Amino acid sequence: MANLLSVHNLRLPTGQLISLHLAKGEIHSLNGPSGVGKTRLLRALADLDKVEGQVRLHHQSIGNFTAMDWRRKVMLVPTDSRWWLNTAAEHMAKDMSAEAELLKLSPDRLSAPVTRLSTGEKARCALLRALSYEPQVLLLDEPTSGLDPASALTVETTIAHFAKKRAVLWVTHDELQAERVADHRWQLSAETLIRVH
Amino acid sequence: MNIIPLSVLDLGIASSLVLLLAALSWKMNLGVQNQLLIAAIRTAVQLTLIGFVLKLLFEELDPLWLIPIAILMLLAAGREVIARQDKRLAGGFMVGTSAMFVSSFAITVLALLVVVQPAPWYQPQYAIPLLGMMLGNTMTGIAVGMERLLKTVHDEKDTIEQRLMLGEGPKDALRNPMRDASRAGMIPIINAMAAAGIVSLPGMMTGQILAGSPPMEAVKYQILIMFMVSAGTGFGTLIALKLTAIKLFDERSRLRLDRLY
Repeated sequence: MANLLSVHNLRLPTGQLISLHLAKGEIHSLNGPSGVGKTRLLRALADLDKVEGQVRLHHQSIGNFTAMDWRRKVMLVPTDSRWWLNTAAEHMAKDMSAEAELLKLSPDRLSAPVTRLSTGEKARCALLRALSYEPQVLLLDEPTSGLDPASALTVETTIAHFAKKRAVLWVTHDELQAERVADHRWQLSAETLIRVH
Repeated sequence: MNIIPLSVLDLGIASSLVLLLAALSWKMNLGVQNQLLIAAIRTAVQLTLIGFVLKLLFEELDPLWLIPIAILMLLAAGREVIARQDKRLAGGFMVGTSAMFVSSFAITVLALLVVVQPAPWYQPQYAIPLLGMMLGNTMTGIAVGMERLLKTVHDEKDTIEQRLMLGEGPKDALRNPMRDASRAGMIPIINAMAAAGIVSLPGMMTGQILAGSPPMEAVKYQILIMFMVSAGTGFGTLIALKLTAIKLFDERSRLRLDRLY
């Protein structure tokens, strides 16, 4: 399958040299001990931190995109979501009611004040917010942390559904989840990134 | 004009009130007595020195001396801006100083050339007090605005970065902190204008009246100063915040909190 996102010799602030390729329709899981640099890698790929190395989208170097354009195409969804407008819907690029139902989230929750949403609802809204911009690559930083097992499974199914048109790099500490969702599994250690499946 | 000269004893009586306040602060464990006393001593020493400098400048020195004195005032104000920051920005001295330079100097020169029109326009008796008033107020607005912006950006880092993650540019991502900081910088001077004459008699006007000026002349000067100071503070604050915002991001629109120390 053609590579959507290619990373070659990217030097993380934590020292590892990273090379990996994500193709359209693939979900890659990323595991590793806390503090080893998983979030750093996602931040680097979203161009939020300055790092050395080559990152390409559709064979086009990151430098050919404006930072804003790049981040809309290669979008990071962090663990803890932040909100600056009243409702979740106001943060989204388009109406996401149909997609909300896939996530077993009642559409009226999108128009409720964010302060009244539960942690789990906020996590799902954050995913919807990202999807509303139709990114080509989704970088997920533990998207199911803080969710009950049933909601986590719903999120997994929804992401698998949306991954058909895009590539996903999914940081998770949950080995079983990685086995369930990922086409390829990566392990980041203090020294290097290795593919375990 | 009938000026009632003040004696050293008169000032001594006023200073005893400050001493009393410091004693109260010490007794109540407020911990501000040292700052209060140092600030009071600085007021006395600095104003006495500037009194001598102005006396010399008005009576004996070449008006060219205005230039180094104005630069000195500007640098001192720039230093004060930085001293008031909790979170400091690398290069913040240049940001604050250049914003003050642009707004204070431009408006002072405008006031001298177009409004007051002394002959020559740079006559130190007018230029120095006007510039001093401008710098003093602009400095406060810039210091308060920058302080608020840097603190908010530090505290709201995650929100700003999540806006960037959605593809917003620095201008949008920083919209709320910029608005808060602009308001914080400008509200004091807006309040001062709103309350002038009703709640408070502004210091300069009071001083002029105490020194024997006709009240209506003092009032006209005070209105002039209020407008100048408001414009200077507002423009200065906006310029300083804009420059600060530019420094908070790099060429790839990444938030660079490593530039704070």
